[in-house]
Amino acid sequence: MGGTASTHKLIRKDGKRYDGRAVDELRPITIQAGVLKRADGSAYVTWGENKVLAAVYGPREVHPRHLQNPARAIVQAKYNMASFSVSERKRPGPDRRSQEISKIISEAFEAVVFVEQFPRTTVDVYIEVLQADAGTRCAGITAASVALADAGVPMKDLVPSCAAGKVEETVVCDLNKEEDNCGEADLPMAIIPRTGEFLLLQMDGHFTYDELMKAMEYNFKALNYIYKLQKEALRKKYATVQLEEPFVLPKREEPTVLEPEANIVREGPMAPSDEPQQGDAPPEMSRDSPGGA
Amino acid sequence: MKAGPGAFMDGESVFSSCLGIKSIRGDTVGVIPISGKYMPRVGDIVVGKVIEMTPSAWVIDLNSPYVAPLPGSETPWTVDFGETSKYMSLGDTVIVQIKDVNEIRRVGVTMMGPDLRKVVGGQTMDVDATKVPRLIGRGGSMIGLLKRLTRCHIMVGQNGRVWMDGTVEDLTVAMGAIRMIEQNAHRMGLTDAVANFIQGMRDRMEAKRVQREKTNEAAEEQAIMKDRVQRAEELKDVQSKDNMKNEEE
Repeated sequence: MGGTASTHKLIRKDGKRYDGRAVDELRPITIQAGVLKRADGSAYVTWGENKVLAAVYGPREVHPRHLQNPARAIVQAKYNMASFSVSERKRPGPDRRSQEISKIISEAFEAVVFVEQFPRTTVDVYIEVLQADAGTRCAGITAASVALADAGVPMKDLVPSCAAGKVEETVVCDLNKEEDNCGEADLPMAIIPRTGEFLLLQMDGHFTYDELMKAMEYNFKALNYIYKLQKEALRKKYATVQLEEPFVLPKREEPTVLEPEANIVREGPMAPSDEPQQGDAPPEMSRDSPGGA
Repeated sequence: MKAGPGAFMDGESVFSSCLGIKSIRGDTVGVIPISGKYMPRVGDIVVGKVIEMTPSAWVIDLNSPYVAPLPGSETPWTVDFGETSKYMSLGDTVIVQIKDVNEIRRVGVTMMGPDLRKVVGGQTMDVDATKVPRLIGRGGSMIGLLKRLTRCHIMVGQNGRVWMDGTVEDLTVAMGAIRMIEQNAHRMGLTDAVANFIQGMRDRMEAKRVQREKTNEAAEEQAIMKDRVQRAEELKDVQSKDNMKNEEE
């Protein structure tokens, strides 16, 4: 944001953005689950020019010991940007920004993971930004959530995340780098799609009330779409889900922003009816006595 | 409707909490997870590893987020204080049973019972704990097949750790087959596929062995030929020297 006045127009005369997207259009997104062999769960997300890798370990023993909670698991997320992820080399290591992002991501996931099922343990989430082009925390959360599901960590739902912002007095969805740098405001969001509960809501810059509502509306629609991509990625586990053409959000009929329920899919991530059609487990999947030596 | 393992209730509905296969038992809907860590359950027989020793107990790693102490009193031996290392030391593999698990997941294990013991020799490998039922098969069909075809002693712990013993070649086959089962656990008709896989692996190994022998033979022949040539040359040298001597005379 900052507000560096842009020399070129970010919003074209025809109302589209300078990269040709509509105001409520996302960049192309691909999600791939289970890309790393050594991690318990992993996911790779490309989101426009963003490239983000997430790895999950655990539940496992907590080190250092004093962090462990006898009643529940803790979630320790670590957001890290590679030194080559931005055009000017980023000094490696945690800085103020990545510490903040790590903290908010940890807190977001602690609210969805069934932490009480794993007392005295930690679930470690590592988010590595390989290439950054604005919106990496959202891409990171999206990837981490798929990685958690891939690791078999029980969760209330998958967590999609997306940001909207304001560019040249226009509310737009999913800012890219130029729009983020020259724009006026930014609103990253993460939700539990099934219930519409918020896991993350940050705001940088200023929105009027109407703009905020519009930004949230764009986000809700985008989140629903990302949520579907996440489910698809897991279902096709180990296969990439690709957008054939840029996704165009359906035109809104009427602004129904204040009723988030209206925008939300009413089914769980893997609701029973949603399962593969094979019916029950394969016949050999019965839990039997161990094979004696 | 009730929520079984891998699922949870929200109001009247049941939702899955992990990625897996739906399983309905009566009015209970659960999910058999595709991946996940082993959670100790009372009565499970597991393959553990000694990771720590105290004067009166060993600490056993269970391939799980939780470790378990094995006190000397839970073993078939009479262990005097400070003499735990006489019986087992770090890295030893044990077959133990989960005796109790409390609400903060402190786990107690015992080595008192049939088949529970410290194992000597052999190898261990870790597989995903959610794939153990598949590795054992219905009524132990898969594990029986593995033991028969690989000619190995195999012991699968509920925690996903497998102990096995046999010749190097048989162990290689067994490990390959177990990895193959782990990777294809979600497929149907796996038992036949495994039999084929083992046969294929054996064939490949046999072909390699034959190839190796052939190259060895070829190398030997080559060496003999080289030797002969060398000797002939030496002979030539000697003869030419003799000739020169004769000429001088």
